[in-house]
Amino acid sequence: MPFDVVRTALDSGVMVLALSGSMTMGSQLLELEGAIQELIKKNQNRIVVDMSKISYLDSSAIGALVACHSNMKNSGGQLRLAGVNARVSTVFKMTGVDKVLSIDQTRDDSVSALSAGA
Amino acid sequence: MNSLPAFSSTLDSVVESADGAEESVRRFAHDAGFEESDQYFIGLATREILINAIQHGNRFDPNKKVGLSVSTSHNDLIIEVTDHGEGFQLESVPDPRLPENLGRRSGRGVTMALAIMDEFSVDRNSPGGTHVRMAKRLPVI
Repeated sequence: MPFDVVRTALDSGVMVLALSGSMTMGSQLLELEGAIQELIKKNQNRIVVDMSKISYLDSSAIGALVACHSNMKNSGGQLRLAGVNARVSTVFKMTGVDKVLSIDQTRDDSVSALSAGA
Repeated sequence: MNSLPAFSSTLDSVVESADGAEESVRRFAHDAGFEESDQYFIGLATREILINAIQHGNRFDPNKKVGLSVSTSHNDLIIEVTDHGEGFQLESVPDPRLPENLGRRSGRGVTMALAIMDEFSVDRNSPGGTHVRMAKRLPVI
């Protein structure tokens, strides 16, 4: 089940990764992790992952998001998730990751939170 | 409701097997009268247990298959998954919601299936290998 990633670099220095589709176990999750790791290496330490067009995700995708969040935190940056739909939110709560991930209602909320912390 | 005809399938131990199988289970849940949201989550629980069987049970061994069967009883939708691994004890599965486990990369699939389904059991000594049985109460129409 594939998903797409569209990158947008904002003037504020925040990078937005807009995802769409279904996030499930597979090479694309590794590519997403690799892409975020590359951004961290380039000192891009404020990232919004826009989830508003993600309709489905499995436990492997949750693991990848937790790993990305943790890598970013360890490098002194912030990664925020935006626009998580109700079902994905339910899955986050089922597994408790809503307590560790930084989640905002909208992409603008996430961008504001990161811009305010700059 | 009358029982639906059960279906069963033998799957290769590759991740892609879960895609079609999940879709079949969702359709079955639809035909059994579950609303769309329940179909979604029943499909997700099925995917998680299939991936467990493929990854941890059969360890992606091309010579080992995963069995899936779906049926209804008087009250329940029943999903059964078998693999040829050593199995696991439910009580030994770490709770991913505990603070010390929240940052772990894996280990959430069984917890998700437990949260979604009404019954969940594991038989490590089934003749065909490890046998996971999940049940969800049928909607009252």
